[in-house]
Amino acid sequence: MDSILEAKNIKKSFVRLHTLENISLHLNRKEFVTILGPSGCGKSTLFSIIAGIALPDQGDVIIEGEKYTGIAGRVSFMHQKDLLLPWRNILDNVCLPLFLKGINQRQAHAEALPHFALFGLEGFEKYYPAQLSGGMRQRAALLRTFMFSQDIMLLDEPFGGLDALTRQTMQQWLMNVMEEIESSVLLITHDVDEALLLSDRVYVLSHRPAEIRKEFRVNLKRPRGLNSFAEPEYIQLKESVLACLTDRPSEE
Amino acid sequence: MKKWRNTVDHLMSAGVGVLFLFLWEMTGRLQILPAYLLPPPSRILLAMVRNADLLWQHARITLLQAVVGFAIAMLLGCLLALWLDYSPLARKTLYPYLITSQTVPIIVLAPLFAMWFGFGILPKVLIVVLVCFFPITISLMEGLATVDKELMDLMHAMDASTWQKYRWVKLPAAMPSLFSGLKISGTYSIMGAVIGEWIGGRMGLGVYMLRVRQSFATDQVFAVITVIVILSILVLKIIQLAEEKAMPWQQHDQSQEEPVDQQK
Ligand SMILES: Nc1ncnc2c1ncn2[C@@H]1O[C@H](COP(=O)(O)OP(=O)(O)OP(=O)(O)O)[C@@H](O)[C@H]1O
Ligand SMILES: [Mg+2]
Repeated sequence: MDSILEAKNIKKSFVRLHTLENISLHLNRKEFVTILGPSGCGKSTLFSIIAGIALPDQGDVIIEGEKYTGIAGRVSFMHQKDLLLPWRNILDNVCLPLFLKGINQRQAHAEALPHFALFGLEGFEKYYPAQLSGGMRQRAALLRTFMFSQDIMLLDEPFGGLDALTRQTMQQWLMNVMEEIESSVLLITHDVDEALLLSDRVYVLSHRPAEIRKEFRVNLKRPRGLNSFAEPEYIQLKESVLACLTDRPSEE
Repeated sequence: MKKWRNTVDHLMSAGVGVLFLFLWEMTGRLQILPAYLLPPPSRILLAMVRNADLLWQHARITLLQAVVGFAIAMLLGCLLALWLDYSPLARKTLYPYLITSQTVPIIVLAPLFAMWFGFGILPKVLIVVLVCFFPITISLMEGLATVDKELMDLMHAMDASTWQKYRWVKLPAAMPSLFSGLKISGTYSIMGAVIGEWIGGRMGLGVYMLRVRQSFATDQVFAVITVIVILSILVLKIIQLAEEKAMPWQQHDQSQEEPVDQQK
């Protein structure tokens, strides 16, 4: 199989909190995979480990066959909050990863500007983040993530902070963007519809200590849209995912 | 609409000031209080105009001492704050001393400095440095320490070096806090120089103030006080101006409406 990223038997405990229990998952090239799990089960912790900013107690992160456990800077990482720098305009914010790599301003701008149209940010290059709506800020954060590393992107609830309506527009928009770019994406969400709309595969995690409870393959035909919600295949899949999510372990 | 409200507010506060000056003037005119205790504003103004040359000569020295002391305090304070932020070990060992040092009232050190360094500019500058140093250090330290943890995690995920973390995130994030410290220190700087001059010297507003007090020229004492207040306000305004220049993004926070999302 053409797997670009693999997490092998990841375990992690905080002082008195056993968070991740033996998580193994993989992401194939150009695949969109979602991780669904109850709140506080350790999804963000798993992402910090994959991004290399936290160390697992056990297990390894393998990217393109090489060990990347605890090594930051290989994959790009987007947080639920946009985390844009309030003191920089959108263009500079988006270019930040390039600046950090030592690319000069002119070159960085030239590299980022062609993507502004696709990310719906054209004409807002010189605005400060505080002047943009939540949806636009989130798109800017996504473009910044994209500028850092295009082959593997980790998105941690990128639309979690948006209102329902904006979130839906953003999901549709992201789906269209995914048609244009060649990235492999790992997404965290609470939203089953979001997961089924965007993904090729879905992992469902259990309560803490989190284990992978089940893996679903989403074979709905693309392009997907609002009308996909009505397909019997979709309804059936959503029901089994929901059942799997809410099925609590017996000791609780 | 908002602008109009602002103008009204300004007029109101200016009106209160004018009323206050008017009542003050009346206490003198109606001889409620004798002029040798509380001269009316008109007399103070007259004293200022008459002694303008002399006041300016003394004010120059005070201003020089305050500015030099403030600049040194800013440099030292920022360097110390950066070091304490960067090195947890330095912070743990030095921070308690930094705090305790503030329990020593600087004013009691002034006579000592006069003994050690004479009556020139140096002891005054030293007092200004000591007075200004602490607020700058503490405010920058606080600003650097309260940076969003998730933002720092993101910088880590993007493999930023220590210098890059400071340059792109920590320093700009600490600016508002630093400037509030600078403003406090700025107003202290003139006061510090004047206190230093009280201990002894040949020039400066503090020296001049003692001199006119000895000749019971109350209106001139008030004239000096007025100049000191004006200088303090001036220093504060300059720092505020620098603040606006240094943080252009702050102006956009409230003044502009959110643009409508393109895709809606
Ligand atoms: N540095 C830490 N030290 C101690 N406990 C931590 C730390 N980071 C996270 N935790 C705990 O680990 C658990 C998992 O946290 P995590 O943020 O990974 O969950 P999550 O699944 O992303 O939750 P959410 O759905 O709310 O985003 C939480 O109970 C959290 O309190
Ligand atoms: Mg989380």
